[in-house]
Amino acid sequence: MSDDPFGDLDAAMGDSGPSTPDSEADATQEQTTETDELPETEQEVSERSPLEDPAFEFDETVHKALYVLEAVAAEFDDIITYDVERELTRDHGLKNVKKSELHNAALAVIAEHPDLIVDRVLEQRGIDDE
Amino acid sequence: MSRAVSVCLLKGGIGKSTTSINLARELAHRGNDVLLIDLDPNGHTTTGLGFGEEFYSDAHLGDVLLDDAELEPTELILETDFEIDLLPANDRIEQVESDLGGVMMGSARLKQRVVDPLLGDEYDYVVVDCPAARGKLNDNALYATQNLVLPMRPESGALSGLEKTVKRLIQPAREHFDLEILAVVPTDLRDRIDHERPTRRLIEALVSKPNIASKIPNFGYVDPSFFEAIDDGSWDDDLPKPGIRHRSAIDASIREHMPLRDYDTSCDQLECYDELAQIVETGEVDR
Repeated sequence: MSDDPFGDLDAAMGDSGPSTPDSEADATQEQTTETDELPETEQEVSERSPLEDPAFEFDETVHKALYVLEAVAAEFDDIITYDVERELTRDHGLKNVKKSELHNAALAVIAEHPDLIVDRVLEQRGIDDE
Repeated sequence: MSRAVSVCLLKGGIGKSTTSINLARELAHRGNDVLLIDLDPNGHTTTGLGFGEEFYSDAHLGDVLLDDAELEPTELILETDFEIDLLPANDRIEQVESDLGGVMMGSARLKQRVVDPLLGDEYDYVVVDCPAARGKLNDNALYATQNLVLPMRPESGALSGLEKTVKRLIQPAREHFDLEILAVVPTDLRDRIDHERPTRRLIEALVSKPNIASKIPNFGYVDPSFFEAIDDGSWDDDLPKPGIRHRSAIDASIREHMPLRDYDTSCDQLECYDELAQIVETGEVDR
């Protein structure tokens, strides 16, 4: 990053003359974030109601096959449906919660914890590295 | 003595909100007036204290920080049942972030309009929960508080998250003002420390760097010589259990929308948050 995010502070510190507003370039550069969220167009952001509408359209998603044991699949579906979706609708007032939103969030969370996946694969094989 | 502090790290899911809530709560429990400011667009701190509805309210921080400001910060502040006040996040705060990029002294607004007017007058301590992404909200938090608490979970990416935070936030900020790191807080640890696991890797990495080691609270600190003794088999004492340990009560308190103290006063990890509160009070780790 070559830009100085605090360049606008010089005026606040009183160590320069009258300041001018940040240049447009600076304002646009500041928009780079490191979140893993799916990019959304501005139009979608302005028209979407977070409580009413899913985070993204179904046709933006891909269908991906996952192979899991039946018991794990059943537990996952239960957690997603009974715990997660219920909390979202009951405690956070969301409507129209889609499976794709839940699956997307679940995989995104898992992707942030590769160490837990490693642990579990070892555990499945009966390898105890504790 | 009053002080403002940001709970900050450029990585999501590492316990910023849990740390912010419980740090603020322990400061209050120690007899201080405390304001907790939630700047994170995901609003975990706000919803985590039971203000899910307020997260979607029409009035928000942008009405205080931007050029057409219509509100005093006190008009947004909510009283909680937990001895702390909350300036909530809002689902439109990301728009505020981009708007701040285009106004004069956009990085100084939180300091000028919220923290300076309230700190030392209305509140003894201000704790700011920061976003995981770099941007004007983080810049505002750093300039307004000029003190940092950096939480670290033992997971891959934790150390690179710290490095990124230093390079992209802390170093650029220090070109302009004094920014103090009060504490680096290992949190949500569950492994034994004598195994080659994320917990050991995190603690060993942190304590082996003198500049970081001095910032680790006593509850998270292990003398580097311990690891040599473990490896050569000469350690014959109890194993230390550094860091804020994983406890189901902490998870449950989040689900029940309250700080740990209010969910379970007997949880043994409260003393960690108490030490963290003392560090914020005194301005340094007391080894």
